[in-house]
Amino acid sequence: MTVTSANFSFNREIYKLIDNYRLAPKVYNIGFVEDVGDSIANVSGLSTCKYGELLEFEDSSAGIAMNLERDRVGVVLLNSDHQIVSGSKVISTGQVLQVKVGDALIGRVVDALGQPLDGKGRIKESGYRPVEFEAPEIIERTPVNRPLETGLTMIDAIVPIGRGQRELIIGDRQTGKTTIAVDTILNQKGKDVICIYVAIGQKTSSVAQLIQVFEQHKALDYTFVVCSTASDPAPLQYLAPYAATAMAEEFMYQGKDVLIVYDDLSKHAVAYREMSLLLRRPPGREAYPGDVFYLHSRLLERAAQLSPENGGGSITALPIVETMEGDISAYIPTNIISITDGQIYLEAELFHSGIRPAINVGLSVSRVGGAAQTPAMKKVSSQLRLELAQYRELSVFAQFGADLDTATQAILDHGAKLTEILKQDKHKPLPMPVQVVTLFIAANKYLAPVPPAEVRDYLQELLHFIEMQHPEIFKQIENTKGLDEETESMLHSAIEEFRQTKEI
Amino acid sequence: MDKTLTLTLSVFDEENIRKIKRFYAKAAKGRSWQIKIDPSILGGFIITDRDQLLDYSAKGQLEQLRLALLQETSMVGAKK
Repeated sequence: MTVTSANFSFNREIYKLIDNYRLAPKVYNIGFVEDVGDSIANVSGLSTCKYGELLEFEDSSAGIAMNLERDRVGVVLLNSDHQIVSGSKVISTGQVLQVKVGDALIGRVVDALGQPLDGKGRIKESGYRPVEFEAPEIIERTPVNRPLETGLTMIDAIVPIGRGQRELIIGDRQTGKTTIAVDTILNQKGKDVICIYVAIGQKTSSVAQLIQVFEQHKALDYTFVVCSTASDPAPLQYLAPYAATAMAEEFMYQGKDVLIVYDDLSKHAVAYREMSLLLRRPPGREAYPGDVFYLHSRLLERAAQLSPENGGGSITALPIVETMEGDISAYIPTNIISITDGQIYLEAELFHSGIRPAINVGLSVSRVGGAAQTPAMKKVSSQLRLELAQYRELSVFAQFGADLDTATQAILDHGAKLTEILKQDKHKPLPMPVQVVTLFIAANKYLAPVPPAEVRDYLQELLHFIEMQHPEIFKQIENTKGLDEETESMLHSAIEEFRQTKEI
Repeated sequence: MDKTLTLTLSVFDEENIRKIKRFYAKAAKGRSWQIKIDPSILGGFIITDRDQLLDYSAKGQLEQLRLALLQETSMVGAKK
């Protein structure tokens, strides 16, 4: 088809539409602004306005009805550059807020309303979805049963994440929370997972830096960013995660797998608190409004693993929460811990002692991910949590300088080695077979003669050796997802072979 | 604002105003009219009655057509 004929049929279609369009006078429900400020307007009139309805102002800026009172409506404004004054006319649209959805979003950076921020032109949407949408029902869901590999050995072994799960990443500032989420996104390359990174109330510079990381690692082929920075008005920060989830739902209901990172929900709660207080809703604990639990539960409930009859798509949610001074019993952290299917707890102390990712194994759990772990990983990681717990307990004991028996010393040595092999540089996710072989080497005490400081180098060499000399081992694990006796004996002999070439 | 009705026209025309008032006589019983001239509505008229706005203006209908076309054309794009 040539361009001209395409234009011709397109024009004809438009003329047809205009001819067939029936112009009818419209009756609108209107109101007048009483007062406006702090991204909130109080409007009189609007007698038929519904909760959550999209309202249009005289200057064509938009707002959402959030408070319905006897003779006025509290409206949150979505544009920061509005021209609204006292007395401005407001028209109710009878619709709820919707965002553009579709494949065209992938690789883009958009704001909370789906408008592009990356200067790459208009987004050709394939449809619209309401920002607030009901979560899938019980009958539509199926338990989490497929792994979502993060590429971080510690997480995949001890707190495995499954597709459709909600796993909280929690910790103080500067403990590597975002890094874990970003590494997980980088690791989804070629795994048919669409990734969404939602920045809520963050510095524009750090979001820019992050997008650069995505670009460097070619992650934008399957990732897009929904961004509401600290300079955006509170209503946009409040909307961003819901809008991003609406975009994710479009993919999920098409049967695709989606990973969505909310970075972070403590700032989201703060934005909602700001809005609520300005709307004069009564403050509760820590000045948060009464429905702050519902705020997050209705968001995270939208993450799901759909049953095969419903397309089998999934949304995996990785919400991030920042704690103050390691206080995970504060209001927002406890709320979100109780909503999610587990948490990864990061500690500043571990981070500064060089253990990165700085995951506190004792306080981190994954309530449903175990069912999604690959058999190979399950086999090599079954003792890991116990061994690390023993190590932690004994190392506190050993600090007193008491004489230790050989059994205790062995547990301590082994724990130190495990800690070493679980350290991982940032933005270097490891494939599952490499993780399995690493844990296999450690579990079979092949690292016992190596001094702790040299463990990582030794392991690198060993892994390199296996990859060069026996690549079939990795392939076998990759293909079968299991670790059968044959592969195990191949691994044993490969490691022995390496040890003979290398003197310690 | 409560008791008055506002009628907005693009140009002042006694004859039209009388017709419109007759058209709206039932609801306007015992209430006073306020006439506004606003050329930007292009033609037709708008009646504002408390929080109801009856848009019979050319500008409003063009706007409706614009939105309808936007919606229709984006649907056309989606089908391809």
